[in-house]
Amino acid sequence: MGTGSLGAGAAVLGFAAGATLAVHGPLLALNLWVSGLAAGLPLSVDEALRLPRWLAVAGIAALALAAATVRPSPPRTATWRWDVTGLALAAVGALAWISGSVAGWPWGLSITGPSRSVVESAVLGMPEAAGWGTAMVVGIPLGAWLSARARRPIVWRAPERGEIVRRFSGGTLMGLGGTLAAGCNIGNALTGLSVLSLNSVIATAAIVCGVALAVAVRE
Amino acid sequence: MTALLGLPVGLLLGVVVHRGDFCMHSAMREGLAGEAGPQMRAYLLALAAQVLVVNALAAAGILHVSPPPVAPVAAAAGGLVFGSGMVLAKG
Repeated sequence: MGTGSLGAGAAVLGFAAGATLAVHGPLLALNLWVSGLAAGLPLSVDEALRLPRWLAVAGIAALALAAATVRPSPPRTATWRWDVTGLALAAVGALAWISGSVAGWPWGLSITGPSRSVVESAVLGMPEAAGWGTAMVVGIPLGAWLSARARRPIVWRAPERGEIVRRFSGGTLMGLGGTLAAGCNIGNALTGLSVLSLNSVIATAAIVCGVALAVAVRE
Repeated sequence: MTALLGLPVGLLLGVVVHRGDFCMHSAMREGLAGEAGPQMRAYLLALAAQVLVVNALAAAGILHVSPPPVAPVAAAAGGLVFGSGMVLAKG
């Protein structure tokens, strides 16, 4: 979105709308009901597998590293190399945990809840909803915009109307689903997995299945 | 006021995502296609490094981390909806 893509902007608006609808509307009852089903499982992977925490941590790190490096490197592209991107992402992720803990934010990087808090504090007249996550999520498109502008002038690109509608609807599904799953592909697949959250393991697996399903349906 | 500490973190994330052209949608599509492409590799490395750093900080008592409650049906249903929305929103 920071590079001037209005299509991505439509997806972001849809996302914030979906995340808000899931909590401030008739869907809340459904959300709460589904969230209460089959509860009571252990909270983390190490508890579920009855492993010492350090062993589970080392195991996940080793598996991910092996999968990332087992085959020859892909060809260089114009952007950062994958290992630079990965380490930078991890550094920001760790920084988010530390910075957030100072401000009473009990999680690291996250997009879904913070996006909702932007709508709540700026549109719904709930200033108390604003917090560390709100400031963080507002910073993301700003950072991307600054980074894009440092390279070349921003050119606004508008897609066709049909594509705007499609991307907005996709964003809305992401907001609704991300709220139900207590996080998106960042909050769960990156932040949640870093603390071995079992909920994040289930959500991440389901997100991958959802992508596979949607790709299969479209093709 | 400490809430404002989030802003520089978000700014940095925006820069990293832009300069690295990082996208979870592409990473998952690469993974599903069975290739360890650049996006998938970046994600896996980020996960490995973060899991080590965050748990080391927690073990040292610097950080207090606790996994959220588990709602398996909600996580599975929400994840499916989110994943299909991702493809529709293309990113």
